[in-house]
Amino acid sequence: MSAAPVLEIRDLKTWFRTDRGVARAVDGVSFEVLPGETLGVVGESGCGKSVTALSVLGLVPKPPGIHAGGQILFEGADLARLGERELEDIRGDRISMIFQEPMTSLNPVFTVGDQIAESVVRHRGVSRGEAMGVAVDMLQKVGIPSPESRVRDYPHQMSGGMRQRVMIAMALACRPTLLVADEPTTALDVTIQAQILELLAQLQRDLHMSVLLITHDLGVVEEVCDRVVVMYAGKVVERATVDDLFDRPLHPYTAGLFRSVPRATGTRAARLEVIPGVVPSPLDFPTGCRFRNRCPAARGPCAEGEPPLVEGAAGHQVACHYPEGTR
Amino acid sequence: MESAGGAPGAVTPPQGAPRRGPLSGGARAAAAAVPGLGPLLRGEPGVAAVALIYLAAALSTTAVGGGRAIEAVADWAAWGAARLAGGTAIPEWSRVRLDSLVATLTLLALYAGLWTWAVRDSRRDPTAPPARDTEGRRIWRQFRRNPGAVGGLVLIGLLYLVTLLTPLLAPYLPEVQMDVVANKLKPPGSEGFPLGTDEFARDVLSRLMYGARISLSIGFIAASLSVGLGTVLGALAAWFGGWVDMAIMRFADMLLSFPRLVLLLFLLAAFDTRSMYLIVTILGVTGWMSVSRLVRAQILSLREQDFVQAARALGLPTGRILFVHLVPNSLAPVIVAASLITGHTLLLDAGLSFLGLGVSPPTPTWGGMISDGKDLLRQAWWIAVPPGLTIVVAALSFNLVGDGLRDALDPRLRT
Amino acid sequence: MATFLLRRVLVALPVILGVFTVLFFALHAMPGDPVDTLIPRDIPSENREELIRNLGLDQPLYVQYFKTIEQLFTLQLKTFGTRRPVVEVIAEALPNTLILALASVAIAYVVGILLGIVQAVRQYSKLDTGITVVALVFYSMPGFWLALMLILAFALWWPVLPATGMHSPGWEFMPPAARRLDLLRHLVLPAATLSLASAAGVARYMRSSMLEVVRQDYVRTARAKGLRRSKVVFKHALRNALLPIVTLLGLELPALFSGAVLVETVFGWPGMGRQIVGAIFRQDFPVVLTNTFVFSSLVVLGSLLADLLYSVVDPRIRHG
Ligand SMILES: Nc1ncnc2c1ncn2[C@@H]1O[C@H](COP(=O)(O)OP(=O)(O)OP(=O)(O)O)[C@@H](O)[C@H]1O
Ligand SMILES: [Mg+2]
Repeated sequence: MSAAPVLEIRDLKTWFRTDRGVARAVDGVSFEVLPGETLGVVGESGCGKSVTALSVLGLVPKPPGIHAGGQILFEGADLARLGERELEDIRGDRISMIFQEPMTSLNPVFTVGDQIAESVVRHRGVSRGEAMGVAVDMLQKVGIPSPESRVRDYPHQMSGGMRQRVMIAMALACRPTLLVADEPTTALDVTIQAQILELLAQLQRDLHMSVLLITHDLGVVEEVCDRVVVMYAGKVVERATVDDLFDRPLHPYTAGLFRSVPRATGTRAARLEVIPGVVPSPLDFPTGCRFRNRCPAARGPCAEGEPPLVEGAAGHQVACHYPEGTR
Repeated sequence: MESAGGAPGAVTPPQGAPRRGPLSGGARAAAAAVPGLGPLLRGEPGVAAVALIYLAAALSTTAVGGGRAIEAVADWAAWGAARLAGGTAIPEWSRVRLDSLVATLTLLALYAGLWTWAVRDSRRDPTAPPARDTEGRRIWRQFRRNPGAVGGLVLIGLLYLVTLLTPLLAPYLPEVQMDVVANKLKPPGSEGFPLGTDEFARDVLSRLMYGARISLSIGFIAASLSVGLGTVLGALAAWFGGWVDMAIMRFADMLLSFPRLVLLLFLLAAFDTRSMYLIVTILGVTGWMSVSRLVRAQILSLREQDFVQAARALGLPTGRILFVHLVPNSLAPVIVAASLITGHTLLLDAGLSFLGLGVSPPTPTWGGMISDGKDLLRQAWWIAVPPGLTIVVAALSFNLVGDGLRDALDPRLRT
Repeated sequence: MATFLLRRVLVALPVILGVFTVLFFALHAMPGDPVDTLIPRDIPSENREELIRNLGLDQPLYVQYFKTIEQLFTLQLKTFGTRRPVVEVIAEALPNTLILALASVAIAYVVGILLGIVQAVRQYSKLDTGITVVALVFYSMPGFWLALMLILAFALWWPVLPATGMHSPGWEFMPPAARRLDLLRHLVLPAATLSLASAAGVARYMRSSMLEVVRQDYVRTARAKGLRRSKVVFKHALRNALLPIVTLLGLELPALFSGAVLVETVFGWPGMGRQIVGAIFRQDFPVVLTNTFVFSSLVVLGSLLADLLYSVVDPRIRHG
């Protein structure tokens, strides 16, 4: 823990007011992102990964969203307290985001060059001509052939992989300190996935930025992340370096996740297991530990107190009354 | 008595208001005795308001037209007795009195409906879990949340109620001309003429009320005709495809690419006298195009779904698959369209009457009344203004209901 | 693009011709005789027959049909009543209708789009609800009645504007600037009538289109870039939300002409709408037919323009 973290999230709560009650989509999440590192966030669908990411950029739709507590510390400011105008100044400049759906994330009626340049004009105050130059450079950087002519293309003239490259070019055009990538490769096919991840890793080294990588692909995590946060039902259940987590998962949920993933590296195909049951609805979480009704190790006390996130091993936190190996 | 039974019970309590339990003892008896009291006691002011509006309508009709109702019943009873005794002649008052008899029965049905509802409602337990949750119930629940839509529905109910109760309510018959010299162009508030008189000394209020019958009937029936025709044609086009589809849809395109009003003028100008039936027919057969497009699109997408494929595999006859399985499944947007089309048809019919091509005078129609008043605007604004207002209210109600239904049917807006 | 437009015209031609044909035969099949409206019934029958011959009404129907088409395209068609060339008659009315229609469309779309944007941006606010209600009221209002109410308000009770016609008496002697102002003053009420209901429709459409677009991923992307909210709304969202509105423009033209018929009648505006009503009542077949032909051609032309406009706004069409 040498350098100060780039981003520090403390007990963040982002809820949604719906007609059927309050959905506690993110309900007490804490982690930090260190300079230059890639932090992975994993968890099943609906556990609040995207809402966490959107909260960082202040992009949660309000209403129905509400900031119900916690801090998002970035460069000495609490983003959760900033006004929309100040957030606008940070977004796309020092924190950028790329989304899961390259097919729909670009505006169909403007050229890709225009969409990249826009960000540069906004934050650097340069002329449109200069910004277009930056756009060409960025397209070059993300590996798009003949960028000079491609800047004038519209999104529908590009493939999914190319559009995601454009998205990356757009996000990195102002050289942000932090990139939030919400499942950037999920919608792409496997070979393109690898290329995009490789590109991201290379750009990260070049630009010295930190990456918050959201995914539910543990293979990706192992490949590119330095540390991992495991989320379940709006909470962080485990936090560790990739090596520690993969060597010795402490939370039964994490262990279950590992058992449910086919490992290409394994010598023989181990039997795949699925975690029984479904993610509880954020409208109505179970009392006590939120995982207990699906947990193979659940006992009486699990229904009582919510387990706090505590040091289970050196630099390895877990929120479980009975972590693996202690039973 | 659809309007009496259907409309009360329309609004949910404000969100978050504590729901009280079922009424008991004296409160229950009182609620059964006075429609609207039950919801009021349970803290559902919206429902109470709707019930009270209809109760007020019934009571005021009784107050104004009770005498006429009794007279009508008595006359018909006397006639019945005479007939039993051997007489056969149909009395010359029959047309007017038959109207009054229908109105009287409507009023009685309204009372019956109100109190049946009140008694049943007084026993309702608002805290009881809802019965089986059907699609219809979900749509209704969503619809009830929309105050505009509920208001529109209540208004439509009231308007149609007025068309039936008019013989008891209207001060005069619509064609009746008073002594012209003494009574023409009386302003509103004149003795005996609440809304004034026109240049032939006819009572504006009476004509307005009788005009509601013609205008609202034309709107409703013509729109039903359009929707029915559009549904059948759209279904046929979608099912048979090929040249049938081509012919029907090209014809629809043709009609759509032409100003409908001009087409109507064209068709109607050829007739010297125009009955309500003529107008209804011509409006009906020129307004089906949007519905047929809607139904066609719906069926084309439904046709590929499993349950249709299964029905075909079972060898069910085409007509049966089409009209028993497919058409009902594409009904939801059609109902929305029907409501909006009714509103639109009202406006169109008024436009025709205004140009002198609606139902022939002296039958009162709202559009015709506006036309009568257009040259007298300076001297007698009260001839043209009220019928316009009623048209707006009627068309607005149908549009509100149509919008509300569309929102209720839209799964993306579902909560 | 050019081939696309050409194809559109080729598809539209049979439709126009179809409308014309149906109307032609409908006119002749309808009860009533145009000659009756021209001369009293007690005129000697040889004079009557001469008139019928003169008008060509004695010929077999199909001959009349092809003759009418021929004369229509060679601009030889003459009115039944005054025997003036129909082109002349229509040439007097067409510009007047175009002035009214263009003014109304412009007002309706500018006002409607602005209101729709305001509503979408302030969804569920009091302002939004208020505009929705007012728009729905105007949408539910008969145009001709609104016209009368405007006359009542602004020409009779508070006489600031002329109630009827296109020009004040003696306008021929005014200097050009005064003439234009005079025309403008006459245009206000009819254009307002025609555009209010239409604007209400556009606002409703624009609101839902805008709300649909604001939900799209690319709007979130635009916000993620840190663009100002106004830029997100007026650049990224607006451009996409306008696409369905452009289509609406093409579809609404027939309804606009329907409205023009009534509004021109109320305001005594010497346009095609008023002309066609008169011709229908007089059973002046050539005027009716030419008028409808011009109407349908304008509709087709309008929807072509809408298509062109669409391709300007949507690159996906432009670049195939
Ligand atoms: N606008 C919203 N209104 C109401 N609830 C919302 C809204 N956005 C998200 N939620 C709820 O928040 C919860 C978390 O959603 P989130 O998108 O963060 O999940 P996720 O972990 O990103 O899942 P996935 O892997 O599928 O992307 C979900 O239960 C979702 O229903
Ligand atoms: Mg997500």
